[in-house]
Amino acid sequence: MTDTSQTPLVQLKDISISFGGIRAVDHVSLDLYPGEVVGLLGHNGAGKSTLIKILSGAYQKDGGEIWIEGKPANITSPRDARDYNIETIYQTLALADNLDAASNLFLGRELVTSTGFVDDAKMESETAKIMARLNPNFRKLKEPVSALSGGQRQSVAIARAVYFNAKILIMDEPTAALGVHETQMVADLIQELKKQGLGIFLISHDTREMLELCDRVSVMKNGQLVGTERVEDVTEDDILSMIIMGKKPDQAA
Amino acid sequence: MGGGPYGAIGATGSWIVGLLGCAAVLGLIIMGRRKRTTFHIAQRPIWAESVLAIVGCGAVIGAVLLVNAYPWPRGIVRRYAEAEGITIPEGGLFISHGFAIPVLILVGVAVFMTILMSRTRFGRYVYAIGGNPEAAELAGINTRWMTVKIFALMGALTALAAVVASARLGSATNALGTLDELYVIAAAVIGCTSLAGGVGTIYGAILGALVMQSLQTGMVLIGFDAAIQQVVVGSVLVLAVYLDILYRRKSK
Repeated sequence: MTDTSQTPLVQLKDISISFGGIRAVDHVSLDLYPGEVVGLLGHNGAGKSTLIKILSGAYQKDGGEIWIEGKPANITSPRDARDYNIETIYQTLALADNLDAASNLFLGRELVTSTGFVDDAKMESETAKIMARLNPNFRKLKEPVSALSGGQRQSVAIARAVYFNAKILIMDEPTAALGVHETQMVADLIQELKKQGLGIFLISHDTREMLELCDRVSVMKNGQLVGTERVEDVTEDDILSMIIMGKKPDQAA
Repeated sequence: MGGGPYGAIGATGSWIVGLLGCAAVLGLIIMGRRKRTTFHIAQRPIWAESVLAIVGCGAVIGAVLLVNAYPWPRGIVRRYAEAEGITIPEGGLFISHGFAIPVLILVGVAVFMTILMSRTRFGRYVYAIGGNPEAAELAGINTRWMTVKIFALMGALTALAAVVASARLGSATNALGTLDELYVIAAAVIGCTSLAGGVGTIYGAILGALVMQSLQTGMVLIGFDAAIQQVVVGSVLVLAVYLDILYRRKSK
């Protein structure tokens, strides 16, 4: 449940970004409390991924403020976001296809030996450990990631986000390429992370899955926030009408 | 630094280099065994390791014997003897060339670059940026600064090549090396560097350069017209790129 008495982990206040003449995100405000999952729903092109990329440092916002744990935060690059313990799983997975799973997991944060060389062996053993937790059937650790199936690639991307002890996790369509069993593993993982006190932003198209996994859902349309509702207060039809019509359910009635 | 009689290290120097080479081969094999023990991978049998060691050292010693078999030309020996005050015995004085200094520079650069590309974070980031620049950016790699560093490294290597080239010629105009990038790109592509980025090795590029230079020297020895030489080099490059694309499409 959302504990609104605590300081929010993330506060996005009045965020705006435009690409040329198009307002991709138009004065959107969102909160995220520790131990809760906030879902972002909307059409393709509604601005969900763009908003989340502003938080993860991939884009620079044009207006608004980001507050992390009650203090203003200046996020200008993915490195800054990592320093604030924000980890992201992108829709495109952002994996380097020619490198193997271990190199991708530690991309940008390689483990080095005392002489400053990359410690391949240690990275490989750590990767084996975390992949065993997430995807026990995963054996092809040394092959380039392009040789893996879609689900295995997604497991690598999820492992990358989970390994580094994030406080804020952003998941952009994390189960898009996963089978039933793997989707259940991701759902279990999200529950476990919730118990550890992480805050999770979840973007998905599957409304039913969102209502199961999330505590609150926000709906966006054409760059603007239609509304944020608690999962107990809305039904699937209400959400659908919010997405399609762009109006909150009590207003539409 | 241009090679030739005064650009080579002579017989004793070559033997020293040969011994260092043998030591390096043995050291690599021993390190390989130690690494396997640490990770509990099955050891290679001793006879296999000894065969490798013998073949490796044999190749190094063979190279030393080869370069020591090339004597200085008589005229240069005579000048050297007069300058040093040595009398030339009957049958001539045999002074061997030994390893040419450019060859040693090549070996040094190859070793340095291989370590840089396979063991350091810089090398890892180069491969990452080549494979997926967006992923590299999102992983927090400063791609702009990396691009500057990569071009700087390329400039340094080019400068080294220019020094060796002008040393070989004895002098140079400011047009030295024009259109050499054609040969360099051909050499890299022949050596299995992907034009799409993300794939490539140092020894592959060196082998490609060997092929290209053999081609060019061969054409000069046959007596091809300079224009036809350029056409041939261009055709080889086109063929290499075509095969590269074909291979990648097949293996996708």
